[in-house]
Amino acid sequence: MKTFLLRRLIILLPLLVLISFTAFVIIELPPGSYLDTYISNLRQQGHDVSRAQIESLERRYGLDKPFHIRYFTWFSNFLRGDMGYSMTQNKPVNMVVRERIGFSIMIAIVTILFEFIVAVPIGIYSSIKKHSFADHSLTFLGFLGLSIPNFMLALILMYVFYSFFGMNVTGLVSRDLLGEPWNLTKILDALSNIWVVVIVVGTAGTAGLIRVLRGQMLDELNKEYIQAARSKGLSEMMVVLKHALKVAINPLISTIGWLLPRIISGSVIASIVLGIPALGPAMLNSLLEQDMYLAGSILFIQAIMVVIGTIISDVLLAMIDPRIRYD
Amino acid sequence: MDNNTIDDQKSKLLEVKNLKTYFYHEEGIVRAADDISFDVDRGETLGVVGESGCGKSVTSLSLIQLVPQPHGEIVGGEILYYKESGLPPVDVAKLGSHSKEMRNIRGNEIAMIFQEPMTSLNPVYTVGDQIVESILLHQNVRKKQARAKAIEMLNLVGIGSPEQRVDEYPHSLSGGMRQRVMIAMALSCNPNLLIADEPTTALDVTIESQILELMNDLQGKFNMSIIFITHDLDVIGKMADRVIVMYTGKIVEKAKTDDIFYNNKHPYTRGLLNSIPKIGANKRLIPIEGSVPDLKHLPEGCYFVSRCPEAMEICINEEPPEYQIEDSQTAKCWLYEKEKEELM
Repeated sequence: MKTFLLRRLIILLPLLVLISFTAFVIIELPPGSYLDTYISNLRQQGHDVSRAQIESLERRYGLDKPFHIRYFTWFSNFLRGDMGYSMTQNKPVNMVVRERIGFSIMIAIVTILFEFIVAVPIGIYSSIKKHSFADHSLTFLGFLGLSIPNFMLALILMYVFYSFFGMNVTGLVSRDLLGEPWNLTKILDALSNIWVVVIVVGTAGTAGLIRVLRGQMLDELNKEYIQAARSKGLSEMMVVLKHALKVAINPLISTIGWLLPRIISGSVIASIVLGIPALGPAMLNSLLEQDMYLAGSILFIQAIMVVIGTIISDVLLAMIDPRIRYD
Repeated sequence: MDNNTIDDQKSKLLEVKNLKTYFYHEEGIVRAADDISFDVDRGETLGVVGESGCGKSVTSLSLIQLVPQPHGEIVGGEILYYKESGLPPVDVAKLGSHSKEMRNIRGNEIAMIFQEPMTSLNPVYTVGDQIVESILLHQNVRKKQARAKAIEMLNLVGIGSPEQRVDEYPHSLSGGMRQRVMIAMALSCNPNLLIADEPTTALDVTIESQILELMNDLQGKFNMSIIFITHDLDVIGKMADRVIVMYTGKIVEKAKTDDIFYNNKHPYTRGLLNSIPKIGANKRLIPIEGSVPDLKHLPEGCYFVSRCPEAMEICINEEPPEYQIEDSQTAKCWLYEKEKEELM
């Protein structure tokens, strides 16, 4: 296991370089740059923009240098912990990320926990009561959950809670705590409001996990080792949880890898609708406005999450399933 | 041998009376075990033969209340289990599938081994863990003792270097080894009865004969009874003291093993024997004509009538009763009505 981890970490380095380069290229692909939009906006408003002004702006953002130099400067600064300057937000990318990443990580972790805590028992229940009324109802709800778009669910929840209970479910942190630095009160406050986002972002994922687990459980429950476990005199509970679930949970564990980044990009629209200052909305904005350093940095952070998530799920899989060996 | 031990050996362990296990499907009822009665004596091996789908497995699963859910159900009859001779029996058919009494019998007093050694062990636990699980479930011992017992059992079933094997996962063992592990697991609680559901069907012949030998050997050591289910008559010849022959959920013939081979009474038993090849015999194989009728739509009379070379008028309309031919032999066939009349 140690050698496996070590090897993975070594492969990680060139992989991340490659990803960062790809991210940067993709952001550079659309014609024009942030400055073009900025200058034309100024001109439309009747400002006169001189050649010298443009050049100073270009120099300030490093846009006067060729592509590879810009990439190199950005990446080497990134490694030193400086992600560049956000042109739309007029502050360092570091600051933007720092303000927002807390929300994103919190939403991601709570959503993953929510998905597993809800999906695993329902998946097990559906599989042992297959084709019962409860199973069919849960299947129906699951497909509903899978097919309702995020933002739609967010709007419905907002409407329902506002019109029936007079509750405003937008935002994550109470207004009076907004400017405060992150501390325990603020985290607890956020956690008490987080359920709306979690439901919105996690419903589809939960429904998917339930389907996967139900199918896996049904496969396993039909195998002979289950009958053998029963014939030993184990209780049905032990047969299901200790024997079937441990084999059936396998594909769920391997989803953790892509669950992390999916939650960040999946929560973009939900966050916009619910007015939550997470990384998602900032990423969408930066892409629309060609705020290249911000967009590149967020993409890169997401990529790092995929890689970390994959390593976590690989390690978990190896711990759970002895048939999987990496060395 | 004094009288006492003879009595002991002849004493009943299991008495199945009119067992009915049915499956309720939308398209109809399948009577997988229909009015089945048989006994198992202490220390004997009872062979159960028949084609696939004749109800052998369902009958054996009924004995430990593990009829496949949700469609299957024991709908009638008694399964009397004599834990100790002299004491009143337990009727297993009345116990709930999940009840504590049933679970105490399962694995502990009646153990089972299965057809597919490749899939009958859980792939994510070591073989040791799986044997230890059984031991801890039924015996009041510590984990360490249970592990020692597991190693002892592995040694007993002929697995080399059991101290290492105990920590291995099933996927690193061959099919024959896994079946040995299954046997070790089944015998770890010293059961009174071992149900072996086609335990060697999935193995190749050399391994098969090793496993059969091992089972015969261990039967003596553990002084247990075996119900040996198979469709292979050769295997029955090697293993069984008595045999029941099943066809479409019914027992058609019950006899001592020798009688099954040399003095069989039911046309179906004869048909089965005629369809096995013998080395050196220059005879054409005679298969049984036709095929097994649809279990959901069984004919009115004898279920074998459409395939029977000796079918008579009465067979079409009326189901034959079970005739006692000798002390230890019965046949469910109208042929013996005639004989009875001739005798009179």
